[in-house]
Amino acid sequence: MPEHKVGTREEWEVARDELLTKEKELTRRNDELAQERRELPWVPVEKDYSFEREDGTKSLADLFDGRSQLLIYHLMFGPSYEAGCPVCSSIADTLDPNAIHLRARDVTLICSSRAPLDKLLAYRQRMGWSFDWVSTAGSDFHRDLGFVHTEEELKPFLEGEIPPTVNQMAEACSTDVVGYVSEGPGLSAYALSDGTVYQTYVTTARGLEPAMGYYGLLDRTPMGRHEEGEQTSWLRRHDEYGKT
Amino acid sequence: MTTHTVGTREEWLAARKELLKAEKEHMRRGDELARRRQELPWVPVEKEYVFETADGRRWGPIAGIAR
Repeated sequence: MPEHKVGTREEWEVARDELLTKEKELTRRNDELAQERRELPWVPVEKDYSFEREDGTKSLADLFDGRSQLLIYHLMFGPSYEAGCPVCSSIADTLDPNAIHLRARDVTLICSSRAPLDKLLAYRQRMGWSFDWVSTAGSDFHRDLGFVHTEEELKPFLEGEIPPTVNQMAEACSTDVVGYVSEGPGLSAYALSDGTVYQTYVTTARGLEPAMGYYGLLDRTPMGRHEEGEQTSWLRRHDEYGKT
Repeated sequence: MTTHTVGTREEWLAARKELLKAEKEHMRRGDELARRRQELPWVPVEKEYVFETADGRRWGPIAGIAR
């Protein structure tokens, strides 16, 4: 017998209906927040960033690829990494098949990282992704968005006890802790209007969960995420599950 | 020129921080609902459904799938 409360179909339906009311409330609130996101002021991007793409050096405006909106996922793959962050890679797994649907809504979705382009492209091939991936090479693009931290800024963190997850992830990327945490994950959104690029939205941390498809699904399973008390992350690159 | 409200980085940041509070609140509400979902009673499935799989096997009753 399961330890969980067992009920009749009727009991379940009563509880389910009650929950449904709350779920609908949450969905409507989510719609409101999406509206508020769109109402943020647009900020013209005045700096001339350059990016390395498979077909050469590009400006931020070039990355729109003929569309009016651009979504960039800032994938943690720093210059010292030998492979992308496993958590970011799980996000890229969600992003990749969605790029084609976003294109149909006038949105170009790409990834951006600080490692040299050849490293990014080799890893993209390993992961089987097809989105455009740009290297910021020497530009301050990620830094200006708050997704790069200097050793000086990281000092208080590095002097404390390093969480096991951070060690785990640094090792998975074949870099050290400083190299790993110098990078931060993020999602940023842009509009192109009359040749001017505007920054419209930026998010990080749990704000990235919409791009972590498995979490929304786990939230609907009997056991949920059940991550409480786990010292390291259960997430692996999709070709590394089952490997020790 | 765009017809959308254009602002400075500082104006954007102030509005973004305000929105972030609301986003976090919403996130926590989502966590609470996920927890409530897990608290729903489990209902034993008593009907014997039969399924066909890609490799031609027939599975049933349902308990056989979990075995």
